[in-house]
Amino acid sequence: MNILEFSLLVWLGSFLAGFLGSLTGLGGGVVIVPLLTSVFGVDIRYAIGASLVSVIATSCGAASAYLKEGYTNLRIGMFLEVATIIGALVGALIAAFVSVKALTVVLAIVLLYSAYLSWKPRPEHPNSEQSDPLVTHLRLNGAYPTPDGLMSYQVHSAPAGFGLMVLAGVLSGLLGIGSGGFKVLAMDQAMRIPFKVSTTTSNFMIGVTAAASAGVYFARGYIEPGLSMPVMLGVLPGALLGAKVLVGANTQILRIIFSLVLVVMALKMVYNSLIGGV
Amino acid sequence: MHQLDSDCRRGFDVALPESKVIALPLKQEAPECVSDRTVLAKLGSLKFSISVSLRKGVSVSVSDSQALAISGASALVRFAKQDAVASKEVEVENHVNAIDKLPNDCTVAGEENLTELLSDRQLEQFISHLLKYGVFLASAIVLVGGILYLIRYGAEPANYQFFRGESSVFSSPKDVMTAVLSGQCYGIIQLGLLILVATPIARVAFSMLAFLRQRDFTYVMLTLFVLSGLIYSLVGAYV
Repeated sequence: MNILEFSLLVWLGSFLAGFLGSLTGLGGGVVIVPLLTSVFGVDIRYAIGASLVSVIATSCGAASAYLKEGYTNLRIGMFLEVATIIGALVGALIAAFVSVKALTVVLAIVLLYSAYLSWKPRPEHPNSEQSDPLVTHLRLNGAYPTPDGLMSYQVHSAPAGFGLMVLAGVLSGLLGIGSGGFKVLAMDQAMRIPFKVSTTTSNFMIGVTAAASAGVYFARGYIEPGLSMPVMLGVLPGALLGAKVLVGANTQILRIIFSLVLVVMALKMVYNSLIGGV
Repeated sequence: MHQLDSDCRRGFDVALPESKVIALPLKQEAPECVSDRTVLAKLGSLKFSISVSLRKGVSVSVSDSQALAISGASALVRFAKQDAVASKEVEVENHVNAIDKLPNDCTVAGEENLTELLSDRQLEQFISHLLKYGVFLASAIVLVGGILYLIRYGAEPANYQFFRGESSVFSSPKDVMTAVLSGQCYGIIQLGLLILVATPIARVAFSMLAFLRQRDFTYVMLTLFVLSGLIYSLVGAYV
């Protein structure tokens, strides 16, 4: 097919990726990479370059809307970004010593288990007086808009969340899979933050994580302008639409969508490692 | 006393240092103070005082029969109703989980944290705009470049299956600008991509400045760390 047709199709796929990424806090790479490699046969390196562009665009677009609505917790985002950066550094250091295949399998199992955990509904506003001293010192608690008005929430287990996020940074760096999923999981399961706050704060953070890899990708030529162009132009409106939808969406439905995407990610990882792909 | 002009609006989290009590004398003529979600209704001529213990929440005292509900860090509001006849205090505990409006000109005694937290909201709004304009600017440039690209190359076959590993145009911003100025569509798209990548970085940098202004040094350190990590990874790629 010619470039025009190709670009239009990629644009369409990217729109979907942006929409999904903005709803789930995942950044859209999960749709973009398989779409480009399996459907269009694009070289994997161009695909991950395009995925990076889509993650940054989703992040900026969605985060802008969510911040304005008051969902994103800026402080949690900043706090956890530190962990991600540490994780990325550690990952880069240990990359030579780690068996990627073994890690992939372990990770796939973890993802499947996490998908199960995320699927289960949890009370969104547990009454709990105990507050981590770290949480109080860093002022991580907040409130988010619901149909009933502003609901406040408490953040628990900040050190556990931080540790999980370092691990997530390491894994993302080593395996190249998006860290958005881990971010949401750490916030939702460990820190017990309301789901919509977890996904929107994840959206806020993934742009920074992706920007950190951008230098390497540019230098190695992974980012192809002709390919990145339709991706970026498609992802952004999709992300903005997703942000509008999230406001009114039922949290349990969002959880289900998120779990399904995790399952797909896990299966894809296993598949890739079995066929020896990158 | 700090006067909070028109910024007494809903939605801010009141976090207090451990030893202070905030006195919030409310104006009589501000009926919108009363929330329909609060457990404290207007009680006519009955006066009562509310105290919410610190660490579990926020300390507030109300000197009129206007009601006030504050949450945020707290899940527990304890209030004492003074019986007008017997003047005895009755303690009732209730859970409040909604933040509501304060009257337009309430005064807060000796509390800097309130104004800090209001500027947290301002920071959020500012970052929201920064991200929005950054990504729109980048998209507009990419769109222009994209249109030129499609006009020029649209009919050629798509062949992204083969990895060519070119990175020369990105090797310096000067090259990108030269390409842009000579109207090369690739250069224009690349400029847009650079701006896109710069947007989250700018976001971190501005957040750091905002925290610096708020004198929140813990967060200045956190953001500085993130910013350094970003710069290191970007520079490291080219060195």
